[in-house]
Amino acid sequence: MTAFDRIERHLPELIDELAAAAIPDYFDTMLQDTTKARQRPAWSALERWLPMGVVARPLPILPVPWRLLAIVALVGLVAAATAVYVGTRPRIPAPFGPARNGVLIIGTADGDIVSVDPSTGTTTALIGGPTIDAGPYFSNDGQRFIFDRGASASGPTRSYVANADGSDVHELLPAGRALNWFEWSPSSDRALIIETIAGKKRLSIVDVANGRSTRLGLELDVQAAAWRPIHDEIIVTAAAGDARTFWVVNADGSGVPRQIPVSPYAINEPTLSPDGTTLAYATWEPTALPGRIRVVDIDAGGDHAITTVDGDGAIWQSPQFSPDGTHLLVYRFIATSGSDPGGAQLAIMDAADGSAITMGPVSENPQPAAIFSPDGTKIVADYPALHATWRFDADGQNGHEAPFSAIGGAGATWQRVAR
Amino acid sequence: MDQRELVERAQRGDRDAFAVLAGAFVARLDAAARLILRDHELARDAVQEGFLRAWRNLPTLRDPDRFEPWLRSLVSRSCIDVLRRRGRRPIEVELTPFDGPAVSDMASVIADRELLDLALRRLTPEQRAVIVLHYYLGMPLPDVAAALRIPIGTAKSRHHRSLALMRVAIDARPEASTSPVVGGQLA
Repeated sequence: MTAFDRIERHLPELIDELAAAAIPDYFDTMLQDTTKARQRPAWSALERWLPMGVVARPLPILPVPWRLLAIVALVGLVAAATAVYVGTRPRIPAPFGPARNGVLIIGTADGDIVSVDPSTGTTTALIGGPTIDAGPYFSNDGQRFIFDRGASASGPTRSYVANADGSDVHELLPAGRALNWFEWSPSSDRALIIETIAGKKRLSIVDVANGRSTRLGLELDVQAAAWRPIHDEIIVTAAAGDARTFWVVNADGSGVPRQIPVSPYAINEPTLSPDGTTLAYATWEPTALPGRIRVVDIDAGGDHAITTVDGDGAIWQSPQFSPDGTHLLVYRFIATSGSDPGGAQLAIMDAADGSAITMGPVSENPQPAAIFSPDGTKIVADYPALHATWRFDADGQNGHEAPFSAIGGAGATWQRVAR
Repeated sequence: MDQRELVERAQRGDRDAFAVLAGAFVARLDAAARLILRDHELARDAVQEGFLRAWRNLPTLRDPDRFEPWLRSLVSRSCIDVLRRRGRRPIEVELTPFDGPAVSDMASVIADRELLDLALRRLTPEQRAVIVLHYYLGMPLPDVAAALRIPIGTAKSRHHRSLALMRVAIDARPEASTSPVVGGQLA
């Protein structure tokens, strides 16, 4: 038996002793003060007219829990306000990986930017006017796009940003600065830009809202850069003679860049898998089969070619990961004389084993430009040499010419929308 | 003159009858208020308020035989009202020194009384109110619930919880010689 067991058995008696009841010294005063007050008339009490049990027994009805009701009401109000607030805000997709398809926008031959229905070709003007506007490129959140604007088709251009509906057009950078490269940040409020300053290409991060930029102090001949998905890092492409090297850099530019071990014959900018683990790139090797697609784990290494040798001397170039990261959209050049690439055909390639299916027409230069739809089910490809735009299913099947045409080989971008 | 007759006279405004009734119950209700509030001044305020309500509303009491539980309820509610007006700051004072009857093992009784005092201090005033009304004033839990204007389920859980806390306070002392409290006892 514990001490409390012993006490509990005699709790009433012990409390009685502890209380030490006695007539309090204020009793007489209290009595005098109390009985000076007027008594309520008996008839004034509602209880007087109710059944006896209502008065003599505890109320059968629980007291109204006003505090609880107030809390519930408050929580309800907050929830309703939150729902209204959330409901009125645009739903933002994840910055990488599959998303729902939004609008497809293109630059037209007239120098305007329009949204287009991929099925019917019906267009809606977004950016118009006498200027030549082209090259729209949607942000990862699908809320705005950047585009190039020039006074003429062949003159210099400057970069502008607009909301997805074409509103709030403003120049990205202060006057006098031109871009070599632009890539949206995952949050789409910043961007990586490359400018040529004093003959050297410099990488900066720019605030899209106000154009303020912060230069990253890299001792690299930067050619391209992209945020590494799901990592707070940037993948930088640097020139090394005619070849390219790839580097992992902290997103704020701090620390020492880490070189990713890849083939010494890498060319052009790479593509990053949506999960940020894998980098795929093309090579141009001084062999009979110069163009190959290779992949490497960014952290673990293991660089290797995934393209196979086939009989017609095809050259694989310009890989682009599908939204789910399982396939690569690539160009398959067919050499016409020696190592000089000739016509190109698009192909969809398994990112694991390099098996590929070609699709669509063979096109001479300029090479076709193609993009996946955000949901990964469609591919839209613009063939400048053919003056035509094609649509395909993502498996390369069901290809046909689309009822619209983008310009310049880099004229289409597809809005990502939350699923 | 029996209690019922005193109540009926007091209902008609007889101050002397009310003085007799008040004198019969004030000591125990004052002690209960001190146990709950652990503050002499607050206890006095609560008792005065409870008796004033009783006097003013006495004509509305239909059953004179229910006077005592009715008065207990009024003083109990006054304790809670005083607490709410006072805020939630802790209140701790010494109770009136023990002056009880002689027992064979006085040292043991005093020790248990001190342990009980210690345990009651660990409770909130609302928890102490349940313990005091139930064990000291002898009110059934449904009456306790009605007096404190809380659901019966709340009164039962508060009663259970209070006893568990008191057990911890007493048995988990380092000097407790008996078996320790085991985990889950408060569940």
